[in-house]
Amino acid sequence: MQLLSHTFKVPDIAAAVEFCYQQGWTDGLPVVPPTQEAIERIIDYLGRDPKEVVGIVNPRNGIATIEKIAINCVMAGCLVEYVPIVIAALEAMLEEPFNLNGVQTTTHCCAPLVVVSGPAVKSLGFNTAEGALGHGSRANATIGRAVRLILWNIGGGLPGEPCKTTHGHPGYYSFCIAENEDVNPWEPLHVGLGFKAEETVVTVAAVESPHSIGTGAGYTSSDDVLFVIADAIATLGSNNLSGGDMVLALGPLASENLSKGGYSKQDVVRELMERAVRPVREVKRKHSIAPVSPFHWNKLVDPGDDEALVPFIRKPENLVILTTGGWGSLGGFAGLFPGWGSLGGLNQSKAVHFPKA
Amino acid sequence: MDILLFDPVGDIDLPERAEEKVLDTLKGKVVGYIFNQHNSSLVFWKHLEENVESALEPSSTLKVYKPNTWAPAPKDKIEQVIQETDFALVGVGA
Repeated sequence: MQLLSHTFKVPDIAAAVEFCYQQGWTDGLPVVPPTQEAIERIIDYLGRDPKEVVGIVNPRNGIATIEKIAINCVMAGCLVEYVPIVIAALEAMLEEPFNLNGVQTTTHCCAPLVVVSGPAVKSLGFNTAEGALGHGSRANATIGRAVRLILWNIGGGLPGEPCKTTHGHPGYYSFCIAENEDVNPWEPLHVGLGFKAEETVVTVAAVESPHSIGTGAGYTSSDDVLFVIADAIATLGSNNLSGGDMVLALGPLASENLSKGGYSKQDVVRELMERAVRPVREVKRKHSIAPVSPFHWNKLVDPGDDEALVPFIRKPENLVILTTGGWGSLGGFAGLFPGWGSLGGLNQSKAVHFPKA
Repeated sequence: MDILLFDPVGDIDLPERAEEKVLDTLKGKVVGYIFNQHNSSLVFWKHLEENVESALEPSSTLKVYKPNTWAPAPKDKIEQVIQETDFALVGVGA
C-alpha cells in the first residue's frame, strides 16, 4: 500500500514517543507511534482509498484524508473497529451548523462531545455504567482521543494560536460517551433522531464539561427531579441564554424516576423548556451578547417586563437526552453539558458505516 | 531496529486568492464593511465607520453585519462585497 505522508526514522519505541512530542503531534499526553503496519491495518479494515478526502478541517484548512485519519487513530490507540465511529464524528463536525471553525477558536470552553448510540455501544464495549462520562473503557477513551488528535493535527486547534478558549476543560483530551439502552426507559437517542434502531449513530455537540446534578431521584417526586434539573440548566453563566444546544446525560435512576412518573422523553423536554427559565430582571444583568443579535433574549420577551420569563431551551431539538451511567446512590445523578449557545456547535448526527465483513 | 513514523499533520487546502490591488486613495471608491457585531466592538465600529467616511470620502459604502458573530458571513453577502466594493474592512471583535 502506498502511503503519501512524510516519514521519520527513530531508533526505538521510547525515542518514537519523544519524537512525537518534539514534532508537536500531541497535546500533552503520550501517543502510540504511528507505524506503517498499524496504519495499513486500519486502511485495510476500512477498505477505502488512503487518498480519499473526508473533508477540510478548520481553522487550519487541513485536508482529512483516510490516511491522515488512520494515522491519528493509531496514535490515539484505537482498535480498527473504532475508526468508522471516528470518521462519522468528523463528518458530523464538518456540517455547517456545527461551525467547527468557531468551536475551535472561541474563547468559550466548548469542545466537541461524541455521543454514540446503537448496537455498537455493546459490541465495542463502551462504558455506559459507573464512570460513563469519565474513564473506564478503551472505546470511549480512544475514540474521543482520536477526534481530538484530528482536530489538533489536521484542524490545527492549538491553544493560544488560533484556539482562544479561555480555560478549555479536561474533555479537550478525550470526550466520548455512549447511551445505555438496557437501562434507558425511552426510545434510544438515535431512534428519536430519526435513525433505525439497528444503526449505530454518532451525535456531536460542542459543550462544556459535565455539570453534576444530584436530582434526588431515589427519594423524591418526578416533579422535584425536573425542578432541580431545570434549575441547573438556567444559570446566568451559561451560553444557552442565547439558545443553542445542550446534552443531558441522565443516570438510570433519574430516567427511571421520570419514566415511572409518567413522563415520556418528549414530556421531559417539554417540561424543561417551561421550567428552565429566568426572569428578565435577572437575565438583563448579563451582557455578553449584543442586544442587536438575533439570538438575544430580547427577541423572545419584552425586555421592559421584569417578570417575563426567558427560556434557556428554545426548541425541543436543542436538548439532547440520553441515559447512561451507574445506578449510584439514591441521589440520582445526572450530567449536564451546557453548549456554546446559538453561536455554533449545534448537535449533528451521522450513521456509522462499518465495512461489510 | 529503526521505527518508521508517519506524519499525522494534514496537508493544507489553500484557497485561490485573487491578485492584490493597491489603491492610492479611497476617495470616490466604494468601501465595504463586514462586521461581526460583537458586543465589545459596537461603539468602536460605529466610530470607525464615521471616521472612514468623513476622512477618506468614499463615494458609497456597503455594510454587511453578520447575524452570528461567531460564524462566517453569509456567502452571498461576502460575494456581494467582493463584486461591488473596491476596498473592504473586516472587523472581528471579541
